[in-house]
Amino acid sequence: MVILITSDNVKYVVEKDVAELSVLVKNMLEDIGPSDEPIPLHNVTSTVFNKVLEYCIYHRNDPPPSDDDEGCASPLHKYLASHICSEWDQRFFDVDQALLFDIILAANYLDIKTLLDDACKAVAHLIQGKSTEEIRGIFNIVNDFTPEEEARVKKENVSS
Amino acid sequence: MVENLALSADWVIRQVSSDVWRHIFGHLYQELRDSELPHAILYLSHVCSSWRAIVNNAPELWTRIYIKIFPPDCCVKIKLELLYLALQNSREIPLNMTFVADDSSSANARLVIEAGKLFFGAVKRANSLEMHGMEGFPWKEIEADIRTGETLETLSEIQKVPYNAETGGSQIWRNLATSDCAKLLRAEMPIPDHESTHLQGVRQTQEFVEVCGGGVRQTQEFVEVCGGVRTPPQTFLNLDKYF
Repeated sequence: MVILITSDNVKYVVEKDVAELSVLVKNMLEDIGPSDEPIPLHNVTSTVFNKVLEYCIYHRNDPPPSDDDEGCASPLHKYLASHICSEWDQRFFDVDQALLFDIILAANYLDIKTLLDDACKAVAHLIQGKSTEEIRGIFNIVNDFTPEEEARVKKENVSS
Repeated sequence: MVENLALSADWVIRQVSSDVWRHIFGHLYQELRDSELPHAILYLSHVCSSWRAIVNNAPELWTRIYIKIFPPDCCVKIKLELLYLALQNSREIPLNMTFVADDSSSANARLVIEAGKLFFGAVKRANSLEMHGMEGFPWKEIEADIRTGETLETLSEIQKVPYNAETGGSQIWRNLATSDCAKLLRAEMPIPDHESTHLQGVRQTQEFVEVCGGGVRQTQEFVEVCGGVRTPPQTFLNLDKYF
């Protein structure tokens, strides 16, 4: 078992194979060797870690992602990888945006590639088919273009 | 449905790193249809300066080059501008290129030639190349640009293949020769109706063609059916819709 402590000081006792889905934790465990020392997760709160843990427990037996997923995988493989999302995953990512982005930040920090990929797909799905204005509205993004940039953007908008 | 319940202004821009956004855009890119490109990526660059910097510096988001030439001329002009942008932003990385010119004969010739020159001038960077419906396309004007490409070595004007005695007539196919056959995914060539009828007549004998590298290669048997004239062995013709 591995002891993990979140940034708000909540202690978790997690099975090693689950904890090691995080490359960060795996590397730390290798560095410190056999020890009962708790591992601090500075950038993850318990609220977010609960979700991360839920994902890791559910996906603990999944085959590890291979480098082929990025590089020379066949088009069919890439299609399946990008489209297959179980009902469980869909429910898992059915959360408010703040939590969805917190999951992304945690997955990035903890280096859990599959979680990061799946969460990024969920955000990509939110963007797909939306206009510029709609995207700004969805994510509460401020249009910060200078007048010169705005003029260029407008010109490109006419073109496209 | 994910709702925006707690995001303060620009929270996602401040908190989410450029690398993560690039990752998200990469997933979006995979989901987009060719016909949505590059507009959908361009729209991302119109959201804010931060996204604009990310998108314009992510060449992998511009590597699917799809250009469809069709009237009116304003559409050709727009396509041309977008093609410029995509080729520029994709930097020097390999491209998956598709050129569709269904009805180029009635579009402004200057614009069509410019688009053709630009597209085929970049073919040397192609990982894959796909072409559709070339009837009326001004090949002669861009021949020099095609020859500068490493992938597409030649594209002869027209090759006339005598048809067999039963059906008569002549078959007109353009002749593509590539230095790397595997890169040419598909080249759909106009085939007159009576000839496609004939091809349908041999659909049960698919050994007449062999699939190779995503294209279709003529076999000796197919050549015999077509009247004994064989196109160069590296020629690929997509006959899917006739079989």
